[in-house]
Amino acid sequence: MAKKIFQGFFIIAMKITDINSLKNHTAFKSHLNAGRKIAKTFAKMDGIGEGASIAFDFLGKAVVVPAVIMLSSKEPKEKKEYSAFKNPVAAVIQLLLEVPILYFGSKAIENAANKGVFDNDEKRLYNEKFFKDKFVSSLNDTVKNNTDIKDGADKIINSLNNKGLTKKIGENIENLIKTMPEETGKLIGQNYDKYKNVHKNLFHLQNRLCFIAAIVMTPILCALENKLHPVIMDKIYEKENVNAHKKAAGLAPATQNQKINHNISIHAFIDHIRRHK
Amino acid sequence: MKVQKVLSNIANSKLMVNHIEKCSDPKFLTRTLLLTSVAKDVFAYGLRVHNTLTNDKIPEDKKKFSAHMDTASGITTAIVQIGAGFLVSNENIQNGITNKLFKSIKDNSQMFNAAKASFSAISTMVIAALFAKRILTPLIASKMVYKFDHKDDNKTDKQLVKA
Repeated sequence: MAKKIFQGFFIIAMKITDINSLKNHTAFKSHLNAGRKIAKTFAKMDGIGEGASIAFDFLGKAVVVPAVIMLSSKEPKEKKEYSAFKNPVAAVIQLLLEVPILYFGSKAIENAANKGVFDNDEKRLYNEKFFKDKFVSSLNDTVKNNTDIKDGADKIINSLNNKGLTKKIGENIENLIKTMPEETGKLIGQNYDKYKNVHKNLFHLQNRLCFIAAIVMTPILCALENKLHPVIMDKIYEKENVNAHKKAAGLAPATQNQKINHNISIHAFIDHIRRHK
Repeated sequence: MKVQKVLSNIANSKLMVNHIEKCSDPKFLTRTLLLTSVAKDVFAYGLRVHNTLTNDKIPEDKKKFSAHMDTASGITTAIVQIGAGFLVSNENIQNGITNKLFKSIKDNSQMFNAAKASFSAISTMVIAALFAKRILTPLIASKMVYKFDHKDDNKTDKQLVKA
């Protein structure tokens, strides 16, 4: 087998004698394009912070953990199931709590920062609105004297008002500055740099304060998880138990519309398994 | 308002201002994200252990297994995530990967740096939060719990044979 693989590689290696012909090959070109696309996708990514962390956490907790526990643990099946199901339930509760904290928390911090709540001794480290207004007003002043850039500047101002400062808009601003006369460009560039820095400061502040909020909320999250988890697990096991009884009696399994006996608990199901082992 | 004053003090504290200044470094930002994620996990695991042990609705044998599993997971997740995350976010490793992966945009330094920063954060999160935390941790933790729960089995067997 190994000999055949080696022979295969040897034949391929013999065929690829001219590297330039390989570079012109369609497959090689599409590979290069794919590489460029991947690189551009990464370059365009914006605002990787607590939101991305929450998304990865959810994905791992809801999908990966149960699969790993079920596949790797040597404990009896029902014990494993109990521990494995705990994670998707926890993941959903976590998502339902953390996303609103992050979203509304971030909005509240942004509003407070823009109202000047975090301004300190003339230092406006997080007041994005102040620096945005300053940048927009300097851009408008420039447009008055230089009508060639009016369209580009108007588009940028509209985008800033609708979407805020994104990576793409930032690129457009930098490109516009390059087309301006040196002195004007320098002034607009300075105002844009300040705006960009404060925008970043605010983003990091939002992430850190939301992290603190998430830590503070953790006891509530755990308490909710602890309350909901046995209830959901009982429901899952109840249904299986009813189906097992019906199957044993030669009846069809319970459908979703059928009423299930809620008095049968997880304890009864485990006793049932032990008795029938 | 009291809350606003507290938040303003936190936002303008030396610690926060220095921290935010350092966030312009992609490596620092990536590691901050990693550490905040680990801190949340460890705190949550600690609380889960406490809650499991005090929850009477969970059967005794499952309570013990679940508490052991959460304790082992909490300790393992911190060690494994920080280890894997710091390794992946290491500058030499990141340089090696990104120089090869983003070869096609290397002439555009601004775009290359942006792609590099995003890749550093994403790759660290994938390795730490998905692979280390969700695959390695349960594997190690479940083995630890199994060994811990069955450590007396051999002794009992030997005692029975002797008797």
